[in-house]
Amino acid sequence: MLFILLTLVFLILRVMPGNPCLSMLGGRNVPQTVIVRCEQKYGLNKPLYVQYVEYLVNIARGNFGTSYRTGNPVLHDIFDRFPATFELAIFSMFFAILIGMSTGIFAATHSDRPADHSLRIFNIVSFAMPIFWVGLMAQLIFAVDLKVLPVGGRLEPITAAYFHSITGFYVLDSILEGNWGLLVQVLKHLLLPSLTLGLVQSGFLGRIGRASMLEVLDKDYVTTARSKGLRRKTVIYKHALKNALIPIVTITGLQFALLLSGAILTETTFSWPGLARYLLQSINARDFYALQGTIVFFGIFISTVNLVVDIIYSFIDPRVKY
Amino acid sequence: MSLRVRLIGVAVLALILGLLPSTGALTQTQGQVLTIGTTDRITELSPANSYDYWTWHVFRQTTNGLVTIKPGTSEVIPALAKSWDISADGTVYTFKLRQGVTFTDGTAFNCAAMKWSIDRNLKLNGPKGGVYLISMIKETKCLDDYTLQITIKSPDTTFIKRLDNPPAWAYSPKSTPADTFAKGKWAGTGPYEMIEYKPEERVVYQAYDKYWGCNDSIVTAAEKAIFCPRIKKVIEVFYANAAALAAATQSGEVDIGFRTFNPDDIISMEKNPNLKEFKASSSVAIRYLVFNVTMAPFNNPLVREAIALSVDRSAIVSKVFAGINKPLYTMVPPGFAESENVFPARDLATARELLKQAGYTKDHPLEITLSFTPKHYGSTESDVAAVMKTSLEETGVIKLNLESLEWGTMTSRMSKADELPFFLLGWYPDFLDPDNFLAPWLTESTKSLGSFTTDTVNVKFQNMERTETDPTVRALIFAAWQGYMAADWPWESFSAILKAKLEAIANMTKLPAVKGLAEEAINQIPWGISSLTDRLAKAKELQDTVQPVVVIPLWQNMVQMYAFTKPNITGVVLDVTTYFRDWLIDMK
Amino acid sequence: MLSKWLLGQLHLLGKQHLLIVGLIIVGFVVLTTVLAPFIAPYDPVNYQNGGRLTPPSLKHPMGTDQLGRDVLSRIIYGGNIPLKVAGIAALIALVTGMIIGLLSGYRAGILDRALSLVMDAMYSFPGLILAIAILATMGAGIFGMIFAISFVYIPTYFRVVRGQVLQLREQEFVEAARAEGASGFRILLRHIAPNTINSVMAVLSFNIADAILTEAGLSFLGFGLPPPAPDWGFDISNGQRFLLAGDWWLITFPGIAIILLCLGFGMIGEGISDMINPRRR
Repeated sequence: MLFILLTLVFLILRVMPGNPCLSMLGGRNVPQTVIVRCEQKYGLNKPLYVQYVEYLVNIARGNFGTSYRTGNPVLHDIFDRFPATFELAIFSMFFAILIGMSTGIFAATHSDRPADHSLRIFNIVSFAMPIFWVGLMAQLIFAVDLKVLPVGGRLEPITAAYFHSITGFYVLDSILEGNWGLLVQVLKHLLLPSLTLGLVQSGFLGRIGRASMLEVLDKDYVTTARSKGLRRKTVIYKHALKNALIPIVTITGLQFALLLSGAILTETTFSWPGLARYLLQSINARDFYALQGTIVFFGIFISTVNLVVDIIYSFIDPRVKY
Repeated sequence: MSLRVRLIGVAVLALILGLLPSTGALTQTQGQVLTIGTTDRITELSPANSYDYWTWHVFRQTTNGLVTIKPGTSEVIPALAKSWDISADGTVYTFKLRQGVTFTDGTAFNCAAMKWSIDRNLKLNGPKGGVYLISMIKETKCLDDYTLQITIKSPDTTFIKRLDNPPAWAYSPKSTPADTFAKGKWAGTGPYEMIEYKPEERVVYQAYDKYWGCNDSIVTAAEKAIFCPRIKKVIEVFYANAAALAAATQSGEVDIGFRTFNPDDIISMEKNPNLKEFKASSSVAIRYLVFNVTMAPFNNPLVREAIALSVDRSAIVSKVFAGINKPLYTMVPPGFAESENVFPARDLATARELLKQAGYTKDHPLEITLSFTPKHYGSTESDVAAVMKTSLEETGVIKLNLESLEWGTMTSRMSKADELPFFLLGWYPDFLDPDNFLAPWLTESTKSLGSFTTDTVNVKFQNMERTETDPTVRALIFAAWQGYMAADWPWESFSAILKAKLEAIANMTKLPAVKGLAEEAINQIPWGISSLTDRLAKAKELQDTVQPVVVIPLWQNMVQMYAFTKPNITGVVLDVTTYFRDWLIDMK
Repeated sequence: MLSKWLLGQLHLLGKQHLLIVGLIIVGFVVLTTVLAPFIAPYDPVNYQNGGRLTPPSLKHPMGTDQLGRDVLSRIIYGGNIPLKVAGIAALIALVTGMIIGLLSGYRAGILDRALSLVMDAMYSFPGLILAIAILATMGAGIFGMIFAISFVYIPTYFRVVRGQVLQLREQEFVEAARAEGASGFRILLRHIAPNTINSVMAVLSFNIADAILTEAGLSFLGFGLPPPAPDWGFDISNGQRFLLAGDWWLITFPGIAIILLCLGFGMIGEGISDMINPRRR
């Protein structure tokens, strides 16, 4: 699958009309000789199949090229920004599962009652909300009106200038350092973006959660358990929930893809210095290697997540064997 | 737990987090630190291969040139040079250098280092850089350890001003690569040393403790006030957009917010009692329209003149910029003594008449496309385009389409002979002289800036102005040049004024070369046109040699000339240079 | 066959509150967009000589923007691009995805395995990022957006249709048709394709909702039509500039418009799912 993804990325990016070199140099007077030299340097003058082989070999070697905008190797830039995105993704996932699962299960167990209908509407609404809009409204309320949370960023600039991260994950860093003031600041910055991203994701989870819970509640063993006189709650949480979780875990990989899509918009809205924003900046600056590298990285990342999900799945559902 | 309980829980958590003091453990203030927020970006930290505001700003904080501009004025004053002489023929400049200056890497500064820096940049001359500004240098020579002689190809009154730019500044031969672009590896003479750069996030500077500008044995007290940094540590933070910058400035997250605010945020911040405002009275950053005069329908001067009469500068300024920017009626911005408002005020009736003469009516409208770049000049650009559309279409004869292009696409396409006929551009001068507001589009860089004009009258004006040494005559030349390029209507009265000016130049100048050029120009310009039909016929006849209205000035960008600070900040100097001098800033 | 299907649907419709409400919402938005030139009180593109950034009032129920344009009028016109882009893109994706899905599911074998792999890879990739990558090479604009969005959603239909085909091809009536000597193409077209319609329809309406959000996101990020064309997503990013000044109406109303439309399509999708799968209610 990874291989197919990489090929897909190559096809999309190299059919690009125009000359990446020219747009990269995009200055005042670019002499033809400079363009030719640049094409030679990036190997853009070679036939496509040679470019393709080189592209795959370079990725296999971990050589993503150099960003002309930052002057760093693209992989370096990616690892520099990825923790920000990942941290945001983890916390959003947490909120998405919290909100989605609880509403989904609650709706399923109160099937066809007013609570169910309103929760289903809530789920559809949260699915229907443009994520950047939710982010802006949250900024409007919590940062502009109430002034209790910051508008954006990961840290206040002065703090950021003195703070040298160990892991790139600020929450982890501040706990490792035992710096509680920092932790509060980090969480304050993290709260709105991850809640925004999580809320919008929760709609999808809520729907799936409700559906699979309903299905499980209909199953014989649940009915049997109920008939054995077990308490309703026990049945729901002990027996049904565990089985209902299976399809939810399956979609987690997919959910992560959705999450990354959402992260692009969330990072833009909240000036979050993550990988998604790096991608957009690379496109705006026509930074070809950075753009290509970031998309390739997303592909690799998604493949890894899917693999991990498959493995977890095989643990939960013993019928699946690898 | 029900949903409501959960939502309340989240809200409570938000409030608790919001109310907790968050900086507690972090405010171990290491002396005074100045923080400056901006939406600008650094491109490539290479003196020979970059040309944009904030990248040059970084070099400005970290090194010096032979000369600089005195803060608050446009006067050229000595920096690393103590003094200089210019030979009688105007081609040999001899600089006496200061002694005892060191680079931040400890290397001693002397003539060899200065010569090395200039030669290095001339040799590297990157495609994205501004080295062409000093390309008239023929030779650099060290007469002794502290005397540098620079010979230029031909006399050029603008040369000394051109030396206050990064390609002509001092870089340590020890820390700066000789044969490749610096890309962040350089050491200057101070006042600051860049100790951290995180792209898109921040730059951190530390004052150089052996900076010559603070050394009483090297500088006078007056010079010390101009050069010696007040605050030891400065952090510049890059914000994603104007809204975020305004938020950070208003919340006190940064001490200073500078470049570029939304006009409406400027107005609301002006009302904020907790903020102090610094602004310049004029700005040399200008915005304008460019025509590729070789492409139809813009090869017809009547069309260009009609558009010049239809643009609604006051709508742009009031609708898009909330009145912060100023309408501009000449390319040479007010602030220069030579500036003259030569472009016509809005006159739709005349515009319609010109268009009718050119063959365009309500039933056969002029359909044209204006290209603009939506991000490079800030988020207001698309509003400008929208106003352009409405204002040109108000003639009833023009149908304007808008085309939005990425900056890179725009710059590469506008320099191709037949791609972009009509587009919105901005200009920030290379050096402070009226020459730099006319020559680029009319004579010097007609191809790369997209005008493709082949008008030979402009070349005569340029040669006159660059040769003339008498400031009064030079001012007159600029006045005539501005008038010529604007071609105000009605042609009859306009040409009478222009002709009188050219004759005055020919009479006043002491230089035969200038006199000759003025007379040639008089012979070439088609005078005595009395009707529109005449004008059209004459315009067609002289299409390739007489091309007025190549560019249309629109407004002077004041938005970038505002800084908002905390009340305890002093020493922010915003003047006609647009330089931001971190080292002059102090906090009580 | 079709009329029978329709009758059955109508009967079910009677019990479908979600579906009805959804249809009403979508119908309302589509109607206002189509009738925009007749019902919008002001010109959405050209500014008038009015106040700029005025809060909602009787004259301008949703306020005015920075050029003094009426926000309500821009919203009425602003549905045009999202509806067109999302609608066309979803249809292209549907047709392409369905054809590939039918072929793949019916033919099975290597073709099926190869197509499934490619489609799974596309499906697993973050959609917006894929769309952005396509737009980075094709350039912004309406055609770029339609192409990018339809490309992104092809696998969605592929998976649904293929799954259905795999079930259907083993069913008796297909076996019967095959025994009668019907050609593979005929079986696909007459017997299998119609039976996938129900689930495809449910997917379609969720998909349009999703495509509208993607379109809004893309134009929010600046990949849409150049301004001043009215578009909800772009208008929100425009309003972001005035967020700090507290001009809430510029962001709030276009956002509500997007939510309303997506909600409508979402409800229709939910309603159709309920019909197909009544047990889930």
